[in-house]
Amino acid sequence: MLIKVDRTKSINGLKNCISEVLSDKDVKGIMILACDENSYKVEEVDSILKGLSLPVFGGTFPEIIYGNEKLTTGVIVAGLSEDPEVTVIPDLSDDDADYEKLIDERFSHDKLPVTMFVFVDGLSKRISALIEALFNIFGLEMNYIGGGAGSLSFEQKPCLFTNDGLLMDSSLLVSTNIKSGIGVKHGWEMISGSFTVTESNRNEIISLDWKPAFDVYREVVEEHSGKKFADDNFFDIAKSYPFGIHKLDAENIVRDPLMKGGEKSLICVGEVPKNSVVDILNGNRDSLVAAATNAVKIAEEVFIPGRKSIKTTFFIDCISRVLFLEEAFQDELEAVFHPDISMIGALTLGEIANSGKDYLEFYNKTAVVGVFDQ
Amino acid sequence: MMEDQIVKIQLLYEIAMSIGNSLDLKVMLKQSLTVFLNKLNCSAGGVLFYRQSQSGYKLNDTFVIPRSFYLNSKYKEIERKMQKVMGMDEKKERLASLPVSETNHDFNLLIMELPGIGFIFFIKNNTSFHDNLVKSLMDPVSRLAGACTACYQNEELIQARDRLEFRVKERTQQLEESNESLKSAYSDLKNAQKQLVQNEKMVSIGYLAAGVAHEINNPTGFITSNLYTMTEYMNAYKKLFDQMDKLTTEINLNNFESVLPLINNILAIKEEEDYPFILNDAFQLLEESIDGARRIKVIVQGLRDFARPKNTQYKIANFNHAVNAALKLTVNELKYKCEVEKKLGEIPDISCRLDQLTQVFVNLLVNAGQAIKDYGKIIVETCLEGDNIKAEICDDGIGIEKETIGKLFDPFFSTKPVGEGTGLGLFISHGIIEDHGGAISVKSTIGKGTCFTIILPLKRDTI
Repeated sequence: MLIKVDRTKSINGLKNCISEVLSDKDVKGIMILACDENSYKVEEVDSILKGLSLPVFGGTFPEIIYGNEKLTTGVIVAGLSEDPEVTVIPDLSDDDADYEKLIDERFSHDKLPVTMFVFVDGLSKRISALIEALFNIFGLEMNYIGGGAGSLSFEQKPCLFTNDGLLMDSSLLVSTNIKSGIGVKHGWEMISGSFTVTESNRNEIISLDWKPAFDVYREVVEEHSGKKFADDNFFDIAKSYPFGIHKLDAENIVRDPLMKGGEKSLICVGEVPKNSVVDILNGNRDSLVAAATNAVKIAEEVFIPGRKSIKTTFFIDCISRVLFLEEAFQDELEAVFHPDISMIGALTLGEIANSGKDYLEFYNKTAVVGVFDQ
Repeated sequence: MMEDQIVKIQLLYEIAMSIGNSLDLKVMLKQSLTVFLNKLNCSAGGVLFYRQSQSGYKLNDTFVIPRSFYLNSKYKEIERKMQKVMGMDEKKERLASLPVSETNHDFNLLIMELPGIGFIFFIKNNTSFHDNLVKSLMDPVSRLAGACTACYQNEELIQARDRLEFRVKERTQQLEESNESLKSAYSDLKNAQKQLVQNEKMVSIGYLAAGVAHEINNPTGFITSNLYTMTEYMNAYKKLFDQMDKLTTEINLNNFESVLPLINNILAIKEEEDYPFILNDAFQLLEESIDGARRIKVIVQGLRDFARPKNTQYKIANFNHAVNAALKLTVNELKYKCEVEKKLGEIPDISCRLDQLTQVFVNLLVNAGQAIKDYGKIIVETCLEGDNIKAEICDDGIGIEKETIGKLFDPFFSTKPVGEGTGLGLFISHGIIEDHGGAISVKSTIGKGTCFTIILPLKRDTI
């Protein structure tokens, strides 16, 4: 994988990186990971993307990862030596969209890919439905890795790079023959539970055990943190206390409560199905960093060509882990980074992967590590 | 350990809650199996539906998530295993072989009986299916079997409903077809009725023809006579003009010696004929003939108007016009038999088929005339009575016997000698008045006369 980076916000930085990558004749496709802070003008980006003769995919993220650094501005352009096939699935917030049908219509089934990159508009409303459709069609016959693009301002805007320009409210399914190993860990631990989600509407938890969700959550969190929720500090406290959805023989699936909704409900990143059994979790620097370390370990273990064949680490980590760990996030980066292996990645709004051999999921607050043979 | 148990119970509760949320088998299975796989952290799962046939149990249908698992060799292996199990003769033996829980180097397989349906299987890639888990799954699996059965029953109900709907549709179609044929028959009947009305009209015309012929004969007679006289007058004038012509020629040739004899001839001719009378009479004859021809034209026009089949639409018209038209048509027939007294009141215009009402009146007037043996009187009267127009035609003829009155409006009933009446005149008249939403009735006294009364509403009920 030929990787070029530009640390500036400039559109010329993007142009230059693309030109440098394209100058290598072995490059068959381009992945772009850009920072939202760059605030590229859509028309300028569209003009660059539409002029590309090679397949292009990627997104703008709250921050990106280059080596053991996280960049708040800049762009990474990676040249793939194998021809990626990019399938765009539109209308990712459409309540009536049938994603299995859309994937069937748009995806070429001739040969299943080895690794599929899945990038979504992280502020779309039906990401879980897309993930379910992917599993229902392809199962775990391939590895999946990706996450939610977008802005921490939570303003939905064009954030996905394609040959048709920047797109929003869509998803990109990118089929490649890159051999990969995927590890997923979050490191959040249960402090209270379990509660049954008695009412929910997609990503809004309305009631837990038939009590208003916020009341249940506040009681547990205030007691554990010693802090009191006020009108303006919900996320400051809640970023340390996500929900965990139970699964058998697997780590809980983390759901990040973003804000308090009307009627004392809680709005999360990602869906929380009715009848789910959830815990309230908490973590610390050590547990989170250890989880990232474990994710690398799992990825390496399931990487069939063996550790020595790893050429690139692709690190998809949740931006909320950065917000939670603050300066200690550097420890998490160091835990995943290996000096001999180039590392790129993104700090996302939700992560998508199948952990080794586990069920495919849309995660929050989770470290997803992919190791590639190129 | 206790916590794990609680979590497991809660997960099983979550799985159980996902079952049976739809009565569509595939939808229900997709929802439930997705939760099974998600919560049990399985990489694949599915249901094999078996149906009993004469040759034993046969795989009838399958439902697998993900779909790509159909292409996996593990799936074929599962099908083979289950076919073997279902091939066992004894049910006891079959049940003893279940559940199947296998641990392989890269996957773990669990196959359980889905009572009454077939089998459910799960594939896990990471951990094996512990005995406790398998036992715990029996309840939700049995619940899933129940839900599948409910879906089957629902499917049967849907099929029964569809069959019923099909039969209803079929019957409806049959009804529609017979309705169509009834409509067609009704249309035929209407056409026949129209034809009947027209035929009866022609009969009336036939009957009126004698009177009409007589009436036409009169002017034709004097027009012919006038034309003969005019021929004689023209000959007289020709004689005079011939002499005058010769005189003009001789004068032009200056043969003055021939002029005098010619003048004498002309004077002699003028003496022979009364030219002033001829000239005066010729104009009178022409005027008389033109009047006679006009009378013929009016009679013929009236007959033609009456006879011509019309696309009779309801139009706003005055009923008195129909009465007058009928009187004109029958005047020739009636004028030697009776005096007709006309008392037409002021009545408003109504929506009607004027030509048909004319036909009714012609029929009634002709009948009235025929009822008068020597010379009598017919009184025709119209007036407004409440929301109706009332018309009466009364004659002082022989009257109708009581036992006959009830049959007057029956088709093919006639009191006239065979060959003189069709028996349809009053039947058709009755139909026309009914079509107008009105009524026709009759009162009669033997030896005193008969009175027909027509009532027509000002506003016709169009339904």
